Amino acid sequence: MLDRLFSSGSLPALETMLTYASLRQRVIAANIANVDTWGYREQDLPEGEFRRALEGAFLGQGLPERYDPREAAAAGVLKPGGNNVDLEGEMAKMVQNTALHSTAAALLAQQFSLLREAVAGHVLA
Amino acid sequence: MDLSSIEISAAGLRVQRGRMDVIATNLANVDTTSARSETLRSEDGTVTVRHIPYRRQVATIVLGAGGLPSLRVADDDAAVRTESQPGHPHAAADGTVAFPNVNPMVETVDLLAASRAYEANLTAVEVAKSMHQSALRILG
Repeated sequence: MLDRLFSSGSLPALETMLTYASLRQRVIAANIANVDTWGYREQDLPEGEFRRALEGAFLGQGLPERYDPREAAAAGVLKPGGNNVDLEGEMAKMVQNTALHSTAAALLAQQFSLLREAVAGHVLA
Repeated sequence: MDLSSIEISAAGLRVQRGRMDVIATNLANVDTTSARSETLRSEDGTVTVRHIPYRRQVATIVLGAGGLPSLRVADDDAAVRTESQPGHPHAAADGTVAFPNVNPMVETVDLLAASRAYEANLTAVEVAKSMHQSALRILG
């Protein structure tokens, strides 16, 4: 019964969001760290896989272990040295990603606090 | 184990700081006319000292292990500039002095780019830190 409590509903979906956001932060950090690296091409996580993982989470299927970074489709223009990292674009992506992460974290915290309330048997006013 | 995003950003900070150090060295040596000298002894016994000016260092960033950036420093092969200053202590026999191939303008622009990239990495560290903190707040 407890298993169902954690593996259904919004918890797995929120966990998927949280995992994706923290893995994507790594990829963005790597892009920023390599902004002046010769021959480096901007990387990103596949959004399609995240979408499928999110659907799977809602349907109660297992969560994906990892997403493999690949060359970003919509990268910036090629700079001298064969590098195409768009620093401003990465900063914008980082802000969006943080918003996703903090939303998921706040909702998870809310879900757990509701669960705690239920377990403690308090009557909500 | 995979590297954390903070470690990745730290590698970015490290190379950008290294780059700024190289630029600072170039700027500091913009007029160093004798980085090293060679003593030449001709057959008739006269000794001449040849002064070799500082050579500009170029910092390039290449992809190292684990997808992390790494710094490579090499000599700039561009020609040194020569000026005619016969009274200069480092002047050659023909009265010319060789000056380093450092252009302060180029260095200043590079410094600006490096410091901007450094700040971007620093922002990435702060974002990762705030993400860790918000994940910890799930614990209540």
